[in-house]
Amino acid sequence: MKIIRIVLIVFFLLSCIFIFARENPFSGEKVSKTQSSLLQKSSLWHTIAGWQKEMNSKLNRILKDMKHGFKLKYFLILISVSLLFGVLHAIGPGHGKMIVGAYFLKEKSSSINALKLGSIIAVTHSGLAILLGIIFGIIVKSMKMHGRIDVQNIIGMISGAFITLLGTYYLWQKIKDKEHYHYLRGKKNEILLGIFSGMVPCPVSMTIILFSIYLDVFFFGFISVLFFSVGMAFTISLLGFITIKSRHLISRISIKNKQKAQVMQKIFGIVTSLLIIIIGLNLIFNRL
Amino acid sequence: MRKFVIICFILFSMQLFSHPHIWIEYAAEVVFSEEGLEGLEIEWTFDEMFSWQIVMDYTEDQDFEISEEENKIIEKEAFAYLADSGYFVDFYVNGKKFEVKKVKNFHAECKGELLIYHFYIPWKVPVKKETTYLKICFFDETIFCEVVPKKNGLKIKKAENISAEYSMPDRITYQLNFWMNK
Repeated sequence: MKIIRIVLIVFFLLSCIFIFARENPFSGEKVSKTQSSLLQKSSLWHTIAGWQKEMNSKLNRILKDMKHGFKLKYFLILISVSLLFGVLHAIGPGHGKMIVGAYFLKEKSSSINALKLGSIIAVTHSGLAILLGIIFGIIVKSMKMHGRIDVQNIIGMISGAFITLLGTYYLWQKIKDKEHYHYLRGKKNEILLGIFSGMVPCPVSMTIILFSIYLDVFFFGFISVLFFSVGMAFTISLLGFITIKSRHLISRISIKNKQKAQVMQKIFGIVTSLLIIIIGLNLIFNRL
Repeated sequence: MRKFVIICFILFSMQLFSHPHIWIEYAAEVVFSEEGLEGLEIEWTFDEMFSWQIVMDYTEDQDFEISEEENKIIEKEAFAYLADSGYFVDFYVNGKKFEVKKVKNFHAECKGELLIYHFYIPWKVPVKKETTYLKICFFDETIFCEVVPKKNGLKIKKAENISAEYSMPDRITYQLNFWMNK
């Protein structure tokens, strides 16, 4: 049973390597295809995607309604739909969840850390989308879809470069067995990783902002993206929380044999650091 | 403890499920002639947000009316390169996969505030005495777009000398199955 638990967790961690968020096929760049037949046959996937479509349409309609003046009822619907949309949207690949998983498997952390990292990623992810939305919607209006996707890709590559560097740093620490390093521990560590992981702007948030600028209801678009981020932070933090608990479970399994536990922790640290490097490289090369 | 492991299992595997950013509802007409299968007429209806983006970016008046000139721009700027994604269609003849490389007769229009793409995929498969099994799958392998069938969106243009049976796409696989013979 113990072995089965470990195999399950490791298998799902490794399986995620192949399920990164994909690039936009509308970007005009050659896209890499994935073995996604599993998704094609998954009714749960289509159900979740269908719910998101409903929410996307609902937001479109509410923002149009807001153009005719403020109504509390519509405002409350806007908040609720945005929140739920964020929760569901972050379930998919991307949004830094793999980084969160790898990071919390790498070292011992508390549940509060999961909430912090999840929130930093979501805030950065949507914050940058708001900023770009304002730039594209007000300052460089002439930029078309391709131009906008190019800018997002460049930011994605920068994010990938930082994540790769951070992953390499973690790996170096693990190999050298420097468990008690101080420079990038705790808060700083999470803030940096959170910012780097959340740097790739969310296309949904950006579209909401652009649409609200066009309709002249920017404030409501901003509120919508704000609650959308809270929803995303919830899902990302939940994944972090589950990862932390999984790690505790694995530690407890091997606690009887201290030497074995240490070896296992080191292997986990190295594997997850490598995973962070792979995620970073994937972000770069997927966009080249 | 067992429950906890199961919850972990489910939540980790939930990472498999993607976040579509564009939603496409497709309708298809499968065209047969006396020689066999000729091709497919495809219609894609996009979600409101993507429709709005394309109209804002590529039409002059931004009024959901697409002129011939704008149609050409949309084809070039927001359609042609989908060849790299096989236009989200995969064909199989007796289990062998064929990729879509060329389409024709592209035409974009708006119904209300929804953008619709029309195009034709030529795909000639000669009819034989023995049964040929044809399978058509609609799916974006990059998982960026969610491609779903439109309700009652399937039509068949049959030829008299050809017997073509088919099964409707179900909600999960979204694939059309045909059995064709003389």
